Amino acid sequence: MQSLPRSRAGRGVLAPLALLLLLAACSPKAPEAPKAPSGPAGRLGTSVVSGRVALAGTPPANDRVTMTTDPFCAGHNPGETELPAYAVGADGALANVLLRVTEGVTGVYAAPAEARQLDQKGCAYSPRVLALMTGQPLDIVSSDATLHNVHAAAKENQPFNLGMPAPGTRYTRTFEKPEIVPFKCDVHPWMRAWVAVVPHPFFAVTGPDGRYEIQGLPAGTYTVEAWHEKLPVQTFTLTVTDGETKVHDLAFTSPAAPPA
Amino acid sequence: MKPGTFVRVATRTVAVSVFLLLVAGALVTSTGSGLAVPDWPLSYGKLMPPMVGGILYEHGHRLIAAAVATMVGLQILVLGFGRTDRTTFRLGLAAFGAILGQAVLGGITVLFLLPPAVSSAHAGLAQIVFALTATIALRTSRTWSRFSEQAPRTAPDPVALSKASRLALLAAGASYVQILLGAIVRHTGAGLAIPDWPLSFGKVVPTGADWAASGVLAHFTHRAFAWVVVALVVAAALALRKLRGIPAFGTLSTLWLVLLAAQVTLGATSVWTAKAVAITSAHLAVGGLLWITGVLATVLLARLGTLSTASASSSVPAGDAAPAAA
Repeated sequence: MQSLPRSRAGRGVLAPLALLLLLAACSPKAPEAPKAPSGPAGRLGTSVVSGRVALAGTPPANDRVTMTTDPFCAGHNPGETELPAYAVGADGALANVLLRVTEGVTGVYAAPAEARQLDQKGCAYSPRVLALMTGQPLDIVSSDATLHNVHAAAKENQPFNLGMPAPGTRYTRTFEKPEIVPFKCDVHPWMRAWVAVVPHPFFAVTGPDGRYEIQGLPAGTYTVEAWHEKLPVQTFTLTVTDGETKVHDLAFTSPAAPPA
Repeated sequence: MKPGTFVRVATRTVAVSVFLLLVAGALVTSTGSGLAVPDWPLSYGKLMPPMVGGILYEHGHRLIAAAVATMVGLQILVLGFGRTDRTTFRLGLAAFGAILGQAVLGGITVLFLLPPAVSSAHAGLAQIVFALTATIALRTSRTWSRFSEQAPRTAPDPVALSKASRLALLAAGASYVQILLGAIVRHTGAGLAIPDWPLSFGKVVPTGADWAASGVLAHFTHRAFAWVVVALVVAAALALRKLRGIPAFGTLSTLWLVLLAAQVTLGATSVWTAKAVAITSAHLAVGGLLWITGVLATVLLARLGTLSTASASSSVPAGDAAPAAA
């Protein structure tokens, strides 16, 4: 079998070609053009699911950090700062729990044009857990007079890493696929946030009192998932009729050992 | 012709600087600062951003890399004007090419958000640069000159020399494979995929559902292959000691075993301290030194083999050499 002739020129072409292949291999998935939602339009109803989420047992100790690596952050957070992974209020009220309907919703819902905002304020994300719809704009802003980077480690959507060099810096991004996207600042590794992307409007995030309210559900049977950044996911199923407000409280069990 | 003092000092300085660059790179990954600067080659659009938080590590690494790459480039001139041998000069060219490739990989991995394959390649090529510069420093050192003078007089046992050469090469190769496995563990975030040591989930080998957790395969492979490295390095170090008459081998053997013990301890401590920054950085640095010790031992043994063969050939009468050549 005759071998192919190998020339210097041929070899010269191979090196850049290999580099291009490497670049292509490691490049993130090309951003897909947002597709118009197809299928029958989803319907809004008059039912409400609400309740309170609590943490049962002794809350685990949150991690504590000193922010001395950045004088701006240390100035806003002198001494040790507790990271609010477990934001537990009175009577075990647990904040920053995402509740979203995972089964029972039919139809396609259009995303609101109104943007949700994720701020970087005092070297922390605000809010720590945020939910929006697929296609809904997310405004990422910085109120801090220090450098941040916003690193969205998306798996289903296009990941990104943006520099936020000055207060007032603003980027707007949308996510086309449902997932919970972890956000982090690699300059200040204690800064974490989670942005939940949901394909319909039936979701809520608990506030400091642990309360949530999912509005506008049509009559039907739904499975609701409760997600917390540190705790195992819980689900529950319920049926609502038109105009009904159904209350469903739930409790996560604290992973901390009970006091002796 | 022996290289002058300037060449010796310059090449040693370059090799030490490359090692410091490795440590700076280790600090970037150990502190999770790899994406603290989202752009490249500039940093937040500037040559010098405020050195706060993770930027200190990431941009500091870039500054050190720029300085070291310049030094590796200038080393070519030093080697050329210092009248070193052709092989050493070529190693200098290779080191410069490798460190430029290293810079490109560093840029790509930042721009593409640290793909594990690219980040691991960046870590692997760094150790190649270290090996090249360390070999250059060795070949221009007084040790090399003394070794070249002493070696022909020692008449080493050919069987012992062959065995030591083979084992040193295997130990160095295994150390490099272990570095790549460690890079995969580091860049896939699998450093604590198995939370205990020396057992794995309380067992000698993880079982059943243990394997389903993310990173367990990479972590356990790194952990298991460490024992292959231990066996090969101990065997090679002991084989070096059997080559009597050359002090360099005794020193190298002791150094190799000390580094090996330190590296196993650091690996275990990385798990026990839940990846303390100082410990994981030291683990990477000592891993590099372990690999370089293997490289230098291999280079010296190859040199001894060449000199011994040349010495034997020159001492054999022409008539006796004919049957062997046939």
